[in-house]
Amino acid sequence: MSEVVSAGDGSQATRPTAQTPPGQLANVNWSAIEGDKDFQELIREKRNFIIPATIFFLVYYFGFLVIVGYFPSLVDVNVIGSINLAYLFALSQFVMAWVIVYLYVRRAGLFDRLAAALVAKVKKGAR
Amino acid sequence: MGKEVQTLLMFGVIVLITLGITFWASRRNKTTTDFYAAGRQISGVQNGIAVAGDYMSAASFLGIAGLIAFNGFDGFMYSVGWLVAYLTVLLIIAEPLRNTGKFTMADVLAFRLRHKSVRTVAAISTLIVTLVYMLAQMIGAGSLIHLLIPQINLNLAIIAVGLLMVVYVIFGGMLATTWVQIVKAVLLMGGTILLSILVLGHYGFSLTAFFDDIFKLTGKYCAVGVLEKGATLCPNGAEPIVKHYTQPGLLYHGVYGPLDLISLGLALILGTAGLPHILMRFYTVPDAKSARTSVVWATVLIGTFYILTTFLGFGAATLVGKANIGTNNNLSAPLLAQAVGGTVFLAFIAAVAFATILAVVAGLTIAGASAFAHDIWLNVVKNGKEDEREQVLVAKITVGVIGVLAIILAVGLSNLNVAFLVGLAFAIAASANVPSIILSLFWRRFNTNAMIWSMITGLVSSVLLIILSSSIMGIDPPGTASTAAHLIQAKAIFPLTNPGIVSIPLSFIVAIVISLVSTEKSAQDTYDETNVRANLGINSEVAEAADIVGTPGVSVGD
Repeated sequence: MSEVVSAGDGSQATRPTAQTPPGQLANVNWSAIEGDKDFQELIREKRNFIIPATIFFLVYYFGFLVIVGYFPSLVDVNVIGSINLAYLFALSQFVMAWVIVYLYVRRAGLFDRLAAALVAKVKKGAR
Repeated sequence: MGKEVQTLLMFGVIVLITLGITFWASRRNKTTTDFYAAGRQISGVQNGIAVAGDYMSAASFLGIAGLIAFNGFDGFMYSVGWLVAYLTVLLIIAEPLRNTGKFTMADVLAFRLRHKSVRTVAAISTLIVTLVYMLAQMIGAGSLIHLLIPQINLNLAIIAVGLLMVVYVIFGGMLATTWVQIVKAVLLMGGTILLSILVLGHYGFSLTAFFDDIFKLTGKYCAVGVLEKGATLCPNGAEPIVKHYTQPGLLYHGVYGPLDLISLGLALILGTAGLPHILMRFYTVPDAKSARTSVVWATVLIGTFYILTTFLGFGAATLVGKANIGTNNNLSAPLLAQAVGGTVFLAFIAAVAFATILAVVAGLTIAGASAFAHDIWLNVVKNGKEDEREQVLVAKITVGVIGVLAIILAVGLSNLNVAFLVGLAFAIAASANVPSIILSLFWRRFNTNAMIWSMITGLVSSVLLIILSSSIMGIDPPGTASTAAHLIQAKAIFPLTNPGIVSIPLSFIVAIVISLVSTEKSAQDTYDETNVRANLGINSEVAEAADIVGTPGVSVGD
């Protein structure tokens, strides 16, 4: 068994064995990687998703709390029988959370590809 | 066969299963990575179920059902917040944490801020949150067992739970804890789904019929002052305000009610990302991608569970009735089980609640033990000089100490309200831990002094505000039972019951101001490394070889 095995798709970069210490890289120039345009692109891609998603869920969640707390009459409307808007609004928070989780996981595939390419580049340079 | 005997038998089955898992895991517990992180061999899906298990504690299962049964719609607000919280974990915390840390929250902070005081403060905060959360679970367990089987007294029940938890953790480590958690999560989901189906079945599977019945229930409160038990008029002589159970406002009303709701929401959605036993779970998986998978599965399970609390809580309100539940609303779910499924189902649900508590306290114990043995003992006292065997030994001794301490505190403080303790744990976690974790991962200027003072500010302000709030302070009418009375007989100074809206921003402000006025060159220099490692996973802690640690009947893969 070799010390460092790169998986076919590059998603699993290192795999240690019981005998050898984990395949850690020594003497990595972290600042150089940080300044690399590919790394900056990864950070930008992540931010482009995470920041709007975070703002959206915070606004949607705290908007719900503000309405239920300060303007309960707005949601105190029976929609289907005795099921009211307040309860449906609460349920929509679950749907909102699941949708964001789904969208994030879908987008994370891109993050993984960018990160894997960069790790491969770093490994090549370190050799 | 009596109700007590059935319940006792079900409890016995749970204990046997969990001890079996512990025995199996004990032979696979050699290194510190085994002990703290199950060899990092837990798969993303398995860990997701375990995270859900850790999260769906007695407070959620028994507590939320009780809150909804007694307060209608407002009780459901907890359910909503507890799920949305996972977005913070998924988007901001889980993957960077897995990539930069080893076993504990302090690992992530000490990575950039290489200072022993960072580890010490972070470990102390971890120990406090863990202990408070653990007390809540143990007191809850004790009163549940005592109420269902009156022959077992409260203290004996607490001692039994404490001893079992110590046995699980010392012999089985994180591997046993994780599998106990998985088994419990499956039982809890199964029990909750079954209970929900039985409730809906009672209404001919018509959701509208169920809600029509909920609508008929009402609760009362006063615009000013508190409606005394049995009184028909408010203290100022006004008619009380009547609300249907489906309407918002029964719990959060008046001048400060809505603000309290928002404060609670803030503590819930940030607090989860600062709970040591949840954070630690992300170290049990092989890599950041599996950490992400864990959160996805956890979100699916937790979301489903919290939606079903609709049937647990409202079902207890309509089918059992507030009057029949009595004063302890924690019993709502078990009593509902009895109403729709008889005493055998009651025994089953009670046993599930018991398993829930055992599993959660075990997870908490490991988190607490790692904070002492890994952060304080290894990295502060021993200067990071690693000796695997000594480390595992110290960790196990710590588990024993935590166990004894938790038993003594729980027996001594068994009058404390369980929901209050959980709220306190969330408030401390959100105020003390989360600002530092977020800023150390994302802000170059963040430094050691900022972290230490932000943590201390969060810790002290949240505890102080809770002491000054109506959870601790209040004037009780004469004749109030000592178990229900306020600890301090004076008018509450802080008007909210949840301190988050003050303590969380305060902790952030302290961190930001100190970072801006002081400069720590080494902390800025190491930011590049943190940022690269957090995003790329280079040099992250990797899994041990599969032949050392396995999982029962399931092949370990990526």
